[in-house]
Amino acid sequence: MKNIVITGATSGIGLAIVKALVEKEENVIAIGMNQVDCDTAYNSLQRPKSLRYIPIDLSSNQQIDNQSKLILEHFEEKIDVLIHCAATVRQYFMTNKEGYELQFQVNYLAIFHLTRNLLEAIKNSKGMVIATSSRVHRRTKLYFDDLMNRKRYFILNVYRKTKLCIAIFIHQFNRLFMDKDLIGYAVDPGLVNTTIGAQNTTGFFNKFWQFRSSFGQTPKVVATYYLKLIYEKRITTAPYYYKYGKQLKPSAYSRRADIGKLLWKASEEYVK
Amino acid sequence: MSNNFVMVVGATGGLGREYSIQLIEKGYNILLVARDKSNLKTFKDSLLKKYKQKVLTYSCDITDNQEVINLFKFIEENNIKLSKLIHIAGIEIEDWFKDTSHDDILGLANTNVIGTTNIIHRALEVKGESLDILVMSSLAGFFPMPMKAVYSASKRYIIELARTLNYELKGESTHILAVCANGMPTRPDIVEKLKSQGVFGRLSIVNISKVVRISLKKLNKRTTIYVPGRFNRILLGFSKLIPRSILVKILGRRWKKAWQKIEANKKVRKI
Repeated sequence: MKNIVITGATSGIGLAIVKALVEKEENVIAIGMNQVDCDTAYNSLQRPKSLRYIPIDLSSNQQIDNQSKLILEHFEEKIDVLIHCAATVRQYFMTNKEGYELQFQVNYLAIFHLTRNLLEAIKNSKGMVIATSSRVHRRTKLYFDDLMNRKRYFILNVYRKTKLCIAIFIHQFNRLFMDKDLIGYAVDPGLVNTTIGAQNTTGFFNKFWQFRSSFGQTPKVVATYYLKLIYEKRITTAPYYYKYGKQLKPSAYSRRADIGKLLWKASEEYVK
Repeated sequence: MSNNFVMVVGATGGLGREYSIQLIEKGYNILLVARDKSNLKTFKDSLLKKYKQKVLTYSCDITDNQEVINLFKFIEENNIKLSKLIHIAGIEIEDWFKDTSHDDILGLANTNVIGTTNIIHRALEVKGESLDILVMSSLAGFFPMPMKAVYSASKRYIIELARTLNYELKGESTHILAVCANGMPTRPDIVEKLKSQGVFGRLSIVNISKVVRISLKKLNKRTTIYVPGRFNRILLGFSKLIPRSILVKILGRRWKKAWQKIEANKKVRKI
């Protein structure tokens, strides 16, 4: 029985993965944004004993710190798999209480922060980190003097950069921790039929996402790609980016060691 | 390091945070003023992680004269000289005048007019070599707004104050900029409200990172009034052709329609 922590677990891909893991009777801590969403999801799964929902608003680094302790206590400092599915799309530039832009915070910095907080527990189990990236990370780069896109805020541009950060993060994670028998994977789920693009957007973007996502795969099918990584033999050769269950090279920019180092350092500064 | 500071009043709201961050990026020391102590601490701690400048905080309710007196005592005791004052603290209420509670109406008038005047007046006594003052007014300050009677009047107060003081204080290296924005998308609930105003509402939205960046440039250029958003400027231009007695009727009718949509979300917003 594995100890698995998963974010974004109250809807979309995250909820589908939780469902599949509950069927396999794994020990799961599922993270949702607030108590109401967590309760709704928990009830919809018929409240299994092996599953526990913990609300963490990933836009708040304070909450991530506080609730990480709960997770570590519950799993007694041993985590086999940490899956990051939480993400947000925001039409306008907004910040959290620390002044961090919300897409950057929820889609990327929360991943860095939570992984860092749970790292020892993952090391104890020689565990795995899986994060959800996207093909939109291609053909874009980061501006390290303006990581939160204050000067160039455009809804899709920002989302692409956060997904790029995830691809960079996974590669740097492997550079730092593969020799300790840890592994990180970035999953590109393709186009998925979820509400991510419709929750905090208006007008054209909102309608466009509702139309486009109707052509996507269902979360249930996408969840199988994640489960494949968890249950099949661990592949420790690059690339660590998977689409539709197969290895795929992410952008050359995301695989650069110098960029990985820069982003890691910048992230450490934001959450120290 | 010098004791020249920028004071941001209302520093823990979305706009306040953005002004503080863009200013500290430019190298200024910042004095963060707001009511909530824990929000002040969270924000200060995050700034100190990345920046080397001085960051001080002070918890103050600007409607309380004694607290404002104490704030400026704190400034003098710490030998702080203000090079800029960014005044954002304000309240907005969207409801009919007679339906609003007495306390809420007075709270709005006290914050937006009296509190603002109090802070500006006292800031002149602790200025450094020069003092640039940025005050958040609103596009509403140009229109007689049914359902925002006291709010729009309070914002008009600021616009005229800025114009007049720029004349009075011309030789004294002090300047005021009134930023007349429409809805600022700092929180999802505000975006919802703007959405409910239809196309006009949506076209009037400008990202706050852009508004802050440009208004700081305008402050340096000694502009008196800045209206963010090309659509808002065009709207303002057209409205000047319409007699105000007719304008109030047009706005009244539009607002009644929008009010029917947002009736359930009526609330007092402390900015």
